[in-house]
Amino acid sequence: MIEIKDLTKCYGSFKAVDNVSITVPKGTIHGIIGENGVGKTTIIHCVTGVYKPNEGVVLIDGEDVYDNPKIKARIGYVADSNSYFPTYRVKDMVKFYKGIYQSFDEESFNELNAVFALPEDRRINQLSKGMQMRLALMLNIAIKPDVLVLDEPTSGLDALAKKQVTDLLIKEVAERECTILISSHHLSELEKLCDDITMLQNGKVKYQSSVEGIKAKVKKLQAVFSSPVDLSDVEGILNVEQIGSIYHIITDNYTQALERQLYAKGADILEEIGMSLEEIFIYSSKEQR
Amino acid sequence: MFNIELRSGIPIYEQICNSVKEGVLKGYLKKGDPLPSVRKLASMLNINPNTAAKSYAELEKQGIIVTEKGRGTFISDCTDIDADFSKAMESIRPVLTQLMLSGTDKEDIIKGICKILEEQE
Amino acid sequence: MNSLYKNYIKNSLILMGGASLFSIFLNIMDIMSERASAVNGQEKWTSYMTEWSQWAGTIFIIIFAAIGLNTFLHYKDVNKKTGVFIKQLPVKYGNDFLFKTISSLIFIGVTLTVLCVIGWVMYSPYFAEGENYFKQMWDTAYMTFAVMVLFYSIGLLSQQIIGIPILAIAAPFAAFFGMLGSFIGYESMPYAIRELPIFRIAIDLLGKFFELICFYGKIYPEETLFIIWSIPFFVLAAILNSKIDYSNMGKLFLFRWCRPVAYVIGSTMFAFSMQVVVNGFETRGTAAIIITFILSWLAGFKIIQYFVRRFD
Repeated sequence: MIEIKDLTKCYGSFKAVDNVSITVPKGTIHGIIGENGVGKTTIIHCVTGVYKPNEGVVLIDGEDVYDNPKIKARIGYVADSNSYFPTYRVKDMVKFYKGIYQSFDEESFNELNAVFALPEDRRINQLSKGMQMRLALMLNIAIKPDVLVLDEPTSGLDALAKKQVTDLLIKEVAERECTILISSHHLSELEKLCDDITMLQNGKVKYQSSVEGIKAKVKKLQAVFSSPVDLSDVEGILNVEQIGSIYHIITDNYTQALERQLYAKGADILEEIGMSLEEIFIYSSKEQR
Repeated sequence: MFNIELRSGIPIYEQICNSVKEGVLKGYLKKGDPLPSVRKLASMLNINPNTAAKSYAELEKQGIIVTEKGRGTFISDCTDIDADFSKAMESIRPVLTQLMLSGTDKEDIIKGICKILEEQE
Repeated sequence: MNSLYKNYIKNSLILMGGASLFSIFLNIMDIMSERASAVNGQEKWTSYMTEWSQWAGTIFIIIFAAIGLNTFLHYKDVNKKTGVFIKQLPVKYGNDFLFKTISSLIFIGVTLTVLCVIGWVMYSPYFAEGENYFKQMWDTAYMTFAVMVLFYSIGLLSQQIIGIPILAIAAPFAAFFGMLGSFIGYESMPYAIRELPIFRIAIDLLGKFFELICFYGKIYPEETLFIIWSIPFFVLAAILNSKIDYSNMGKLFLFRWCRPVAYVIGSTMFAFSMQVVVNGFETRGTAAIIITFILSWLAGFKIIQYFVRRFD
């Protein structure tokens, strides 16, 4: 559904996005993760047609997004912070969306607002950040998009709001086969929510796989070595932490061969300790430095 | 039940499957008990609906649950579950091999296995 | 017609209406003061209002309206965030105000610089006597049209939301050069056409109408012509504008300098305009001029600050 092919975007001489390719099949949720400033928002802006790529292309349903109103009418975009006209009231924004998107369903919006309860007459600049985000989400869901793009949708939200947002996204995928692209810092949520993940570093793709896939490759192994050992010649090790004879070995390329190597080096006990996506992310970022 | 452990190496859908199977074994889930819809389950656990769907598909394949169109998903009879014994044994072979390689006592291994079986009853 | 267009037109009309109302108000004040001074011989008041109705006053209004117009509309489109919002809407990029702003910046900046240089060179003492190439160039009809296109492209582009500083800088120059061009153009118009009765009547009527809403005092036929001529150019500029592809401009580096420039230029222009007020008083020593300048500069600053804060 969404095909980002060899996307490169530069600001002057600075390459914010460097040859990134991502494919998001219909009805799936794809997460983009990475540190601040790594290029997540730039990619999102290319996907929503705000920027034109310097190289590469973004295709949605086979068509180029850029300056393509027909395709853009099927994309909902929820920005990381308010980008609506500050003095407009909630009902003005509803009217605005209605006048731009043919598929906007006011009834659908009202149903959603029955839950979120945003006052119609409140101006955008009087809404809290969480409320602004919920408004954006409601408006964009009410257009019944085929693709929903969200930039840090849960940042700054309280636990209840986060749950409400997540539920809405789940509903869209389950009921309408909506295709979702999310960028976020909240890896624990993404871990459960996403089918696939792309981890970015310096504008380039570092890991790209299903969550299961990443966890199958990036593992933390706990090994006991009765005598001190030098592991620097073992390939695929990201990091080693040692407490006494217990070694915590992080690898980003887990294979049976690696295990055999460790046994060969004298490991007495070797077991796998699970890592959450958050930890994986931290170790990968650390390695960069 | 249904506690998703993110730090485990086991994929989420598999964890759900195991959870359901455990529930059936322990008697918490009986034949004919309804399970939440894919969407409801996804919402409960804050997971991707495709993952929820995958777990249900797997459970149905193994004969643990059955989906009736228009009515929902229910725990099945479970009497004709086809558990291939030899296949199952093959799947624990690598685990046992590793345990033995690392020097664990055969007695300890057997004790450990018995303990797990007791917990399931 | 989609919401964005409607939005735009509505706001533009409101602001145009507001500016015109303000002009009408000043017209009325002018008329009243003339009557008052005729009866009571208040010469100070008369001279004040006469000065007021000269070009500096017009420019003050243009600036005032322009700053108001652009601040009001500025918040919608030049604001980085709403610019992004607009850019992802399913509308063709003919609506892309944000990026038109940049092109207007470049367009106006370059053109104005060129024109100013030509104008100042032409009227500098070195060329006062004898033939000179620049003067001839300037005096031809070609220059008139170029100036009119410039002026109304500025006007049109400003409709599509140029940032505050652009109109603050552009308006007085645009007005000055535009007027100059129209005078020259009128002069170069064949006499036969100028004296046609239909032509004269039409011009006079339109002139009266423009007088009322533009508050320039008497509007000369040249100026009426100027205004009429610019309408097709307005339309042409709109069409051309919608064809330009602004795609490669990322939003990251826009307008960092806009804010300080807006404050400085805007306040300075405001201060210059207020010199008209100083001229109205008899005692206008250097001290008075300087003090008025400083005070009105600060006032201008505050006004701009208020609007920017209100709508940012």
